[in-house]
Amino acid sequence: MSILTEHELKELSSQIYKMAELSSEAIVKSVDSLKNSKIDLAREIIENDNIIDSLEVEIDNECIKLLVTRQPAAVHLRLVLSYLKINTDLERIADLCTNIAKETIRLKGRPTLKPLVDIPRMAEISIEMLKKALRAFSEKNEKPAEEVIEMDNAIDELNLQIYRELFSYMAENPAKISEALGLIMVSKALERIGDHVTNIAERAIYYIKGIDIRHE
Amino acid sequence: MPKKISNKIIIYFSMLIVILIFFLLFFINNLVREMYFNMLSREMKRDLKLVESYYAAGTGENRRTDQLIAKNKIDRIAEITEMRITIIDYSGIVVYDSNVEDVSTLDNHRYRKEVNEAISVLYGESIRYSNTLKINMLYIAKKGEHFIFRAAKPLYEINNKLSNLKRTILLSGIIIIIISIIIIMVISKKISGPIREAVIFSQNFAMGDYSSRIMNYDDNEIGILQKSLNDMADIINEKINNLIIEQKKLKVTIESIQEGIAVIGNSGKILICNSAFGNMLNINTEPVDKIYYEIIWNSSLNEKIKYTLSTGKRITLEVALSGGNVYTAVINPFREEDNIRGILLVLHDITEQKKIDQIKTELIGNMSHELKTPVAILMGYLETMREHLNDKKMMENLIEKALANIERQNSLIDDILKLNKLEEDIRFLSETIDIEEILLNCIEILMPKCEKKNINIETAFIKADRNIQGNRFLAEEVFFNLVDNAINYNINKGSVFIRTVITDNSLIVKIKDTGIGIPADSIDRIFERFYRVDKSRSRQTGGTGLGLSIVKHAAELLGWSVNVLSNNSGTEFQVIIKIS
Ligand SMILES: Nc1ncnc2c1ncn2[C@@H]1O[C@H](COP(=O)(O)OP(=O)(O)OP(=O)(O)O)[C@@H](O)[C@H]1O
Ligand SMILES: [Mg+2]
Repeated sequence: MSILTEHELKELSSQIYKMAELSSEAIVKSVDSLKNSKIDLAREIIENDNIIDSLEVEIDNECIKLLVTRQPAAVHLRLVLSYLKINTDLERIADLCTNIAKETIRLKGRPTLKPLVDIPRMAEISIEMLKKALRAFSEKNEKPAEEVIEMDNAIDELNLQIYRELFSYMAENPAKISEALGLIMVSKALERIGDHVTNIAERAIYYIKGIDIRHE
Repeated sequence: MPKKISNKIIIYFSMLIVILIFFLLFFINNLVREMYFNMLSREMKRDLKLVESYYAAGTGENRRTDQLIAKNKIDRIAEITEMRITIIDYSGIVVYDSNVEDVSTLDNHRYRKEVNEAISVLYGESIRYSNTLKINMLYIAKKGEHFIFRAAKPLYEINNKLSNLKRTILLSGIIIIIISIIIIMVISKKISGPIREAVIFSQNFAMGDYSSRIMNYDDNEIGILQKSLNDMADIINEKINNLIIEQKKLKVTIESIQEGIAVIGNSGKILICNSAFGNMLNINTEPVDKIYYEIIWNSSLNEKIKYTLSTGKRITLEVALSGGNVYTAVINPFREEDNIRGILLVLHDITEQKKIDQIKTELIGNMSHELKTPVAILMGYLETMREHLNDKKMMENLIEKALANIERQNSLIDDILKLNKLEEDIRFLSETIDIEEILLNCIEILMPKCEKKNINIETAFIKADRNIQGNRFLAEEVFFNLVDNAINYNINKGSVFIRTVITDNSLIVKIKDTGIGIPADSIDRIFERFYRVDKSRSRQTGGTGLGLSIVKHAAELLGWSVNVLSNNSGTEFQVIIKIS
């Protein structure tokens, strides 16, 4: 049995990065499709989800293969285990983006209810968070990861604000209830995306410090 | 802590000196001993001769008395010279001994070493431990006519003398060792000092202190070493400076390029990049030394980079990056002896071009529509006319309509031609123009339109400095179109206010209407060709959407700028004319 090589680890992290990039692109595209009524783009997102799904399986297999055949220890073990976990988180993020895309299709493009400002803002923040979380991994620096956990609060707040606002719209104009509900679903999806990114950041801290800060 | 050369020198030299001193000690000891023995034995031999002569004298006629006298004399000699004198006959029997009264108690001396020697070679010598006196003695024997004469002397004297000598030599040896160690230390300091200086200097140099030098050279090999170290430092310094300059040049060069540029090594690390690259990717960390995919965050671009890094194939692709801008990315491998050393990534912003492309397609679509519609209408009229050749009233009506359409077509073609002419950026000759006069002229031409819509034009011109450098034709195009729009998009019985204002360095022409205004999200677009806010409404007014693009081009050629302020109760266009 040989030990885990730098090369294998690098290969694995490039795969993870690819997964993260695809997920962040899915976020951008799904919100873009909603904002600019690009139904075709929404369809494309749903179709492309299987690319991400198969990449997830591939990464999972790779991680398990490394765990079994290389039996990494200490830091490397934590890294591979973290990758295994965040792989799932990334796949879930992409899934949530298909939910947004489905909402776009259901709403037949941009809702006329209100100008979309907060939702694209949430998407922007979550992408920023994702980049930071991965940076924590590659720089072995927990600071960006801690910032991510901080930023998740902003997303949660935006989500709440959107809720309140949309509920008031629904009360005013019952005809728009379906539309408002669609936007609430989208906001909820983005909020969940933020949670998944936070998981990734917590994994980064676990990998760097060797302690588990979940459920604290 | 490295071993010091000076310590080594000190140890070796001290060892050498100690060895030398011991040798010396040994030699001197032997030499002195030998000399002493020689001297002693010479003395003793002399004394023995004396004894012999006395003893021989005691062998004459008056034997007894003579013998007594001789014995007395010999006793005296023994006493004075501190010797033990023994007289032995040839058979070894002791006949006299200065230290022993009763000689019969003494054993036979025939085979004592010295006696034996004396019998055969006249003199004998030996050093022995005397049982009688319990001390090391030197024995000298001389063969006489009938007897062997032997003298013995205790050696404690020489031993004392020798140990004195040894002590002196040892003491001076220790002093020599101490002095020489001090001297060696000084010398080795002198040698190793400059060496240490050189060592410290080269260590500092290696740590990046390129400016310090060794100050004073010695006048020897070490001095030469120091000097050449200094020279080396100068050369390296210059090389480094050159490299820094080269790198700065490179940096400045790639910084000055608008395209985003990054060099990625075959390990995937970004080696060099310019700030345009960072801006295009909207990154706020330092990209150099990071792996490309940690920075770029675009799956399709990253995939292609990976592909080029492994296959060495050049790739060009179009990518949309964050912020919605579109870029062509050229991924060019660079090699060294067939091995891929890395890639050069160039990002070229084609967002503008993409937009232009889109506008062009739109324009062609619009233009063909604009040109075809009147033709189709005309055809319709002509066909109707052919069927109603006899209906004069209808004919007149149709001809009227057909002419109106042709006119519309004609003005459209005029506009397109004008726009083309303006876009070609022909140098219009510069002349003195009178803004007020041009404005009045435009108003006059548009008067019939105003009367039709019951629109009232109010003017307020400032009197100052009416002569401006420009071009009359272009200026007319600007003002005509703006006043035309102010009338067209006005309400019935509305007003148009045309004023000129003068500021420090410009003359501003303000054309304000009381019309329907321009929606906020259209304001940026009204200067585009064929753009019309409300297609159906503009159709009524007969516009084609080219007017403002003509304004824009003409103003650009004149170096003027045009601003729009609008709300739903009216629009104000401001033409800002710089005056020097
Ligand atoms: N003063 C104004 N008030 C309101 N809308 C205006 C005004 N000026 C221009 N617009 C809007 O901008 C659009 C573009 O104007 P532009 O002059 O380029 O074209 P046009 O007037 O439609 O056609 P033409 O080529 O005959 O001038 C107009 O269709 C109109 O909707
Ligand atoms: Mg016009």
